[in-house]
Amino acid sequence: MVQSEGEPILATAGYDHTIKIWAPYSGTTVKTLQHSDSQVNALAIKNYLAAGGFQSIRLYDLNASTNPLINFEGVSKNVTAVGFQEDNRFMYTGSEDSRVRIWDLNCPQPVCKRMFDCLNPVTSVCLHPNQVEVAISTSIGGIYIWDIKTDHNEQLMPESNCSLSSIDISPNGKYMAAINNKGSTFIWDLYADEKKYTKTLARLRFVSQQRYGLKCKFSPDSTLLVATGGDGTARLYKCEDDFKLYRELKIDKFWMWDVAFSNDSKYLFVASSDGTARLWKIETKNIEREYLGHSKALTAIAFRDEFIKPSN
Amino acid sequence: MATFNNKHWLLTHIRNSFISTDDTGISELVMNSDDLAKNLANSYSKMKLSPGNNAIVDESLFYIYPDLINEEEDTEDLLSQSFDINYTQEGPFAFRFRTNTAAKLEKISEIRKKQSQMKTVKVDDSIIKLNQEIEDDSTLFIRKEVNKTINEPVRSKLTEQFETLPPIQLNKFREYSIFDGSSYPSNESKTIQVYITPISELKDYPIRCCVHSIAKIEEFIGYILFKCLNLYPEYAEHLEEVKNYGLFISDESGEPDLDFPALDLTEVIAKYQFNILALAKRVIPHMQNRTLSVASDTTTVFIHPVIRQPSIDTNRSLPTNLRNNQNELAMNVHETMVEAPIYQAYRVYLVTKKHFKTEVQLGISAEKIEVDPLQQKSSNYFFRLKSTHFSMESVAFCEVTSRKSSRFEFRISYNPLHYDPLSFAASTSFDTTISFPSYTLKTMTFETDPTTAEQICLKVNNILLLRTSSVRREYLNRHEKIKKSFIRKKKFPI
Repeated sequence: MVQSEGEPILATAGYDHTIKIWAPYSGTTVKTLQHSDSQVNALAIKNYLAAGGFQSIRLYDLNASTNPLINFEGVSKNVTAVGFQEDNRFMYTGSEDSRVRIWDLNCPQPVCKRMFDCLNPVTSVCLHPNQVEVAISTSIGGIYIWDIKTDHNEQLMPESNCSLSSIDISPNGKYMAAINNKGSTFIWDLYADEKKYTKTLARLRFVSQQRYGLKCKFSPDSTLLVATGGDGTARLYKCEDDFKLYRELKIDKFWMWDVAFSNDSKYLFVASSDGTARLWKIETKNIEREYLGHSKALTAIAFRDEFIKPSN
Repeated sequence: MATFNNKHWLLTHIRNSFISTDDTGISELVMNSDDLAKNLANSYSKMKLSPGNNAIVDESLFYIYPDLINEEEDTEDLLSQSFDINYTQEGPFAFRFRTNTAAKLEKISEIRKKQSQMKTVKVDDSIIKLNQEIEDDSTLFIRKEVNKTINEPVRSKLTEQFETLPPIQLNKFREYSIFDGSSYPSNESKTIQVYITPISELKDYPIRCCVHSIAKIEEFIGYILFKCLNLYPEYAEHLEEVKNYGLFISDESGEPDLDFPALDLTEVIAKYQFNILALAKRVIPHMQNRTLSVASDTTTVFIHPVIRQPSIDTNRSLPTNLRNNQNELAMNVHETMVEAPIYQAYRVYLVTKKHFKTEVQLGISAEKIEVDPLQQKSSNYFFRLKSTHFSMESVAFCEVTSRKSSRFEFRISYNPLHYDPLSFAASTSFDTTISFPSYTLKTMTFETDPTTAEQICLKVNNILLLRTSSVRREYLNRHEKIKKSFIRKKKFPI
């Protein structure tokens, strides 16, 4: 049974060496993909499904077998970030060997076209909506904004002696957010200078998690920011309301590792370490679905929704 | 071909060809006693070793290739069989055990097959600079203008599904889906054909269940129910809680074999080697395991079987409803205890000495047991049964004695000499008698369906537990003594 074209797809993975593909509405497993020898740290879906694990980057074709289509060999440490360019032109990966790589997907086999060395393990990578700049967070707390085309980069260090877990740029290009292991969330305003390089302006810092901060992400309509972490909460903040707390989604005791929004920013998928992925309706704070099937902690989630254009 | 000028090798080859191609076996019989090549080789080595032998030995007569004689054990093997004869292809030797090597080779070929479908890209940072210089990336990296104003509202397919599709019934056993074995390699999972006997439409066709081998039987039952409901959601109302079902050994017809107890709920599935099992309802829902004896020692009935929590590597536990099972169980047992003394009548068959079966009404209350024959057919005209009533005080034990798939036999034993105003001492000729030196027990055997039999035994035993009569006490004492003496005899056979 394979998802027909145009159906939303949810992918979850973690420490049980499998990737599960779900039909999000019915809550049933459509397919289970093998991810042998390694846990999965990061997932991304476009035409293909990309998974980053320990010393591995794998690309899967969702309509073909359960084994990977392409295996990238020779990465020395954990791959912590994967993502695709908007039009599927290239894929970016970030790993603990401190390198961010850009892979051209238009060739018969993916070719690494650019590489950026941060000198410190990369924890998270995010593509700027202009599709040519990349924001990178590292384990010593530094942030790089790297222009892929010209190799120009900017550096930031919001706080010393901490590790940044996650970084994200709002889809409208207005804000950048990062969360660190102490639960602090940082917000910057973004603007472009005369050479079109993105510059930052520190705006806000607030404590969004009592314990370890794990993930921050803007909603597709750029109105909400979600911050998750070790205290079992996903806190949603309104961007236009000076990042005031809007909703708090809570589970008992487990860590929330990764999140994904539906395209209209009304639903939120959360992967947590109890091996369950949950679908929350943000407005009502209701859990609409629970995706049970993994035997170990979930650390990565990816969702591909389908846009429906308004009829007029 | 190199061995063709070796006389010894040719001899063994001819010999083995005769033996292995002659289906009648006569060649083997004839040649078994004298292996010419072997004898020659032995005499050669003896001659060489004997110190006093100075005679010149004709080496060419005994010429054997050095490789063939050096290793003694190997030599025997090599001399005794020809390379040209392949035992695996024909003849009575067609069956061959798989060796570890064969399994390993198969695994390697499987991995190779997988790899052939998978492209590999080498991550090599040294060539990136080169790529960067040679190629024109103007089409790869295109700067997009970012619109900072909020775009027109988009709708998502997911939201539309939630709004338009009818609400779906979620699988009530979905917490057991973690035991799905299909994502594990074959050595960590087990595939078992399971017949779902409680649903009559499904009992002829087994469901193929691939389960993770760390699952306990209880968790496996949960997974079977999950899978069943996934395939046939229309039977959602027919399926009850996991604890109401047991897994039984079964043959290919799917009929559960009730001579064996249900598989132990706390055991791991990897322990069992069955390919076919049958899921059936437990005879008495609140009895966790048929392995608990009902009659021999009444106290065992009230030992609450411990239900182990499903084991998961993370610290998570399954929802609280599973945790509450034990309390529910205790409640169920408590209810049966309370209901036990209330009068209830059952229609069962009384089995006589001569294997006649007579339908009787068995009435059980806290005070007495009544056996009243129902209207009898003419065939039993000469064997008219009298009603038998005896006091509960005189009952010694009640137990299930035989478990056939559809009919269970159980026995009620009582002391007819026990003084009781209610007892009419109307012993009939069909009672079998167990004699103890100072007291006598009469036993009546009944036959009925499994559920009723278990219910009756439980009810009587509950009553016996509530009122400890002298007959019962004596029976238990004697029973203990017999048991002990039996053990002693076993220990010291002299």
